[in-house]
Order: sequence, then structure tokens, then C-alpha cells
Amino acid sequence: MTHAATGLLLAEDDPDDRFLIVRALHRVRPQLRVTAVADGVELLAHLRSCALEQLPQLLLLDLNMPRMDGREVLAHLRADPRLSGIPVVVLSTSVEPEDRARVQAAHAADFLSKPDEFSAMVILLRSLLSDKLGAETELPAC
Amino acid sequence: MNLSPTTSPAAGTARKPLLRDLDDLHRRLVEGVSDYAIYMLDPEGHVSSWNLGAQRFKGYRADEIIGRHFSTFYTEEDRAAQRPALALRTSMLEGRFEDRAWRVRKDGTRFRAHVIIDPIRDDDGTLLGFAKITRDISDSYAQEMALRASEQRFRLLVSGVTDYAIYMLDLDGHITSWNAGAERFKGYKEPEVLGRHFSMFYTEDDRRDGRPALALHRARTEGRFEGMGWRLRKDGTPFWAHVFIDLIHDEGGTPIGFAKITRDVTERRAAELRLRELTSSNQELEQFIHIASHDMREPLRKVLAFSDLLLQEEGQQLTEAARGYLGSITAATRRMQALLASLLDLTRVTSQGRSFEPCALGEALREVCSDLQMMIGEKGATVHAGALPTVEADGAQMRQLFQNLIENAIKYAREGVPPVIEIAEQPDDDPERITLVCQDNGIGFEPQYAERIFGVFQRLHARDRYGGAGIGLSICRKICVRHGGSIRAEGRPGEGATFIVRLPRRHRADSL
Repeated sequence: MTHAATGLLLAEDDPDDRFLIVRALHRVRPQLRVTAVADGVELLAHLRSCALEQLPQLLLLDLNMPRMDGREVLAHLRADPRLSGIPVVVLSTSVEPEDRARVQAAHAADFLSKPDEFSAMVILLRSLLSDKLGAETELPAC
Repeated sequence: MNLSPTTSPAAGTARKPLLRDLDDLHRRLVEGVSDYAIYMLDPEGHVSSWNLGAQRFKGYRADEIIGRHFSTFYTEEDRAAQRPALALRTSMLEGRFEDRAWRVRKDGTRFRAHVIIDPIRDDDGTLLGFAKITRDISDSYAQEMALRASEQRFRLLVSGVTDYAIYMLDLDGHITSWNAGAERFKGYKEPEVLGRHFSMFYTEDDRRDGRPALALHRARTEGRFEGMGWRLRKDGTPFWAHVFIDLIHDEGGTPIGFAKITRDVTERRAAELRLRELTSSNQELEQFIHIASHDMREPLRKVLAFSDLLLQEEGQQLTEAARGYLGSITAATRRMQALLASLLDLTRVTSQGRSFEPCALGEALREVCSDLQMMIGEKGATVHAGALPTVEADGAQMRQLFQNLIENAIKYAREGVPPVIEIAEQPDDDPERITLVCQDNGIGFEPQYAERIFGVFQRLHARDRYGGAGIGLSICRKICVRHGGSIRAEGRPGEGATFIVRLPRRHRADSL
């Protein structure tokens, strides 16, 4: 597996958020391969079409999405031995503490609140990526 | 009782020995009776014999009273009215005198007596004297009077009651009595209803369905019927009635009729319906606020994010003024977010409220002070807490109540005067409630704003001077109301504010 294969899969139904997150990811690691889909169904279809070595290293998952929401996606992932090892981070606007607790308890996934500001998103994703994918030597200036 | 052969003092002389023995037996019998005063009077009314009962009731021994006139036993009023003489004359003329009246004992006390005076004549009809039998009926008289008084009171009570229609029915359901409440509810006067069937108050549908007969049947077989339903007034208007029908028995246990108690609960029913509607529309409104404020946060977040992106990526190309405009957009958006967050907090008082459990308020207050330690220290504030009671409450909300009150007091401190906040319990007239008082030394407020400060987003001062969304006291009020309590404020400008919280100590199981 080459470094180029390192990829991140984002499932986010809101086009604005998709744009902002992809943009922020690009700011943090310009060379990171980012694939964005609009909901859980697309996400699972994409994962299942991937060859094993093409699977992404990290999933970013919105909680509330049409067709299949983040919770269902998590259940499917955990049930699939091929996919269950991929780390998942749930991104949500939910401010209800029980949402966070439920997700963490049920699916052993990280839970992050979407920040209000773009610069805060950049900071958040930078620490997230270095935590999940390891440090990268060449970080573009923010 | 015929005592003439045995007790006549003049009759003893020419008797046979057997008869004399019998005389003796009778005499002993009479003398020994202690439940009745049995004694003889001569034709003028002087006491000529005495027995144990007489001694017991009247207090005289035989040797003290024999030979004295029987009017001694009468009250002064009765003597003045010539009643003793009248009694003897009545007895003589009519063959018997009977009376229930007051008599006087030796010690001057009175007792209620049942008195019989029989004339005693010899075979020729010559008056020999009188046999007098007296019984002390003070006890039963007292009972009778009490009964009569209570019956009287009951009659007065029933006839005067206007909140309930109370009337009687015979076994067939015909009205046999009527009271003021019945007249008030139903509009009929007593003569208009006496003897008529009580089904006249039912609606036509209920009559057709046989409800009046069913109600009587239930009362007859089960002893009581209770029900609610529409009844008609004389003018045809309906009212919602709460009805009891009780089967009434005589002393021997035979059913003699029904007591019917009806209450007009139209208003209560309407109030309950209104309350139910209000509660449900209130819930809908809260749900709406909750969803709306949740959903409105999303676009606001985008406004903030793109404003920031614009500033970050294109900021160099913007003029100073344009960057200033972006700053204003961001500030306004943040304020909007704060308002929405406050609204969410407000709806959470009910949507996230927990059950009421014993909560030591002193402990809750200590926790809050420790949470606010930083803020209290920064402002140089002092919080004095008196001994606080334990009440059944949502502990988290009690902490929020204290926190909001303390934050409010610190926020509205006088410039240069370190805030001093005193929280203490005060006596409450109602043993089921507690009163807490939270007093500060801050800027206070004009008394006419005492209510307004609890309003949502109400503020008495410019935002740039005192920040915050203006929801803290609204949340306090909502918490108090949710607990079945209240909060009000007193204050004067420059003299600090006092918040008075009243909470119930306990909650019934169904009050949640």
C-alpha cells in the first residue's frame, strides 16, 4: 500500500458542509485523496466496490442524512468484517449530549461537533488527521 | 299499675292476714325499686310514702320528706304557675296525669322527669290520695334534644346549601323535597317539582335510553349511584352534572326513598377542557420552538463558516470596510445563535426535566457556588447561604435556579461595589411550602419592572452594558412553575433586588 492510496471517505448530505469540509481537508493535507458522497447508501456502495487495498483509512460521517443515516451506516460497517476495522469519526451539528453518548457507546466511533467557523474546522481536522493517519511532514501553512 | 289496694294508708285496718302478707310483699317490692321513684301523696299532696328510687333521684331520705308537700320537687316557676295543684286536679278529674318536665333535687339541681300521677280511691270512690311514679329521663332527654338539634341543623344546612342540589325522591323517583341549591341549578321552585318524577331533569335522549330508571336501579341494588351527565334547567339550557343517588332506609332497614345530590360542574368541565387544550397547544409550541431553533442553527453556522472562509481566503482582496462588514455579519450571527441556544435552554426545562426526588437545597447551592468559583472570585462577590431545607425537586433544575440567580446578581452589580448575595429560607404560612429569598446589593430596578424582568428576552438595560440573551430569569420562572411553585422579584433602583421563590415540599404522585 503506497502513501498515495491513503484516502478519506466523507459522507455528508449538505453540499455547503461538503464543500467546507473538503476545502478544510485540502488546507490541512493537500495531497490527501478525499472522496465525498451524499449519504449512507452511497457510502456503503462505494466501500463495497473498493478493492481491499483501495479502502479508505478514515471515514467521516454525518449523523443525520437522508435514506440512511450515520447510525445505520455504523451498524452496517460494524457488521461487515471487511469494513469493521476502518476508523470512523462522526461529524454532527447535534448539540444534544445524548446523541453523542449514544453514538460513542453503540459504535465505538469518535464524535465531533461541526465548528461554526472555517478556521476552527481546519484546526479540528488537522488534529484529527494527525491522530488517525499519523503526522505528516509537510503541512501547508494555514 | 293499680296500687290502690296495697298502698292506701287508710286501707290497712281491716285486712285478712294473707292480704296483709301480700301488702307487705308489695310494699317491699316498691320500696326496693331504684329505677323509679314510686311514692304516695295524701289527697292534699303531702308525701306519705317513699322508696329507694325516689331517694336516689331526689336526694331526700324518707324521714326528711314524708309529710312535706310534693310541690317541693317543682321548680319555682312551676310553683308560681300553680302547676302542682293543677297536676293533682287533672289526675283527679281525668283519672291520670302525665308530664315530662323539670323537677328539682334536694341539692337544688334539676333533672328531667317523666311523671305519672294516678288518683287512688276506695271502693266508694272517695279519694284516698295519689300514687306518683317519676322517672329520671335526663339522659334520654339530652340525647333527644341533641338529635333534634342536629336534625334541625341538618335541615337548615340542606335547605341553605346553594352549591349542591340536595333533594329526596320516593322509591319510584318522585321528588319529595327540594333545597336552595336545587332551585338555583335547575331553576324550579319547590312547588313546581314536588311530586313530579326526577326524570324531568334528564335530556330527552337520556330519558329514551332509560337512564333515570337505570340510575335508580343501581342505587337500589348497590346502595349508591354516581354519574356525570347533561341535565336540563327549567329554561331548557343544559348543565354538566355530577350526581349521587343514595338509597335511604328507615330505622328498621326498609328502603324508603333516595337522597339525591347534584352538583353543577359545567364550569369545571369547561376549565378542564380548556386546560387540556392549553397544555397540548403549549406542548406543540414548545416542540415547535425546539425544532425551529435546532434547524435555524444550521443556516447560521453556514453564514459564520462562509464569512470566515471569505475572510481567510479572500481577506487580502477586501477593503478595510468590507472586512468590517464581515465582522458585523459575524457578530449578529453569533447573537442570533445565542438567542436560539437560550430558546433551546428554555424548552429544555420541560423537555429534559427529570422526576422530582428529595433534593437538599443547601447541597445544591454549595455545588453551584463551587462551579461558579471562578466568576465569584473574579468579581469579588460573596455568597452567604443560610440553612436550606430539602424539597422534592429536579436537582439539576434547582442547581440551575441557584446558578441563574447568582449570575443575575453578579451581572447586575453596582459599579465599584463587590456583589453580596444572601440566600436563605424564610418562614412560609403554608406548612406544605417553603420560601427562599435571594437578596443582592446590585443596581436593583424600578418596581414597575418587577414582572417584566421574567419575560423572555426582556432586558432593562442596553445590551452593550450588560450582555447575555436575557433568558436567565425566564428559565428560573419556568423551573419554579414546573415545580408547582412561583418566583417574584422586589427591588428599587440602587437598592438591590430580592427574589422570592416558593416551592412545594412534596409532590403528589400524579402531579408530574
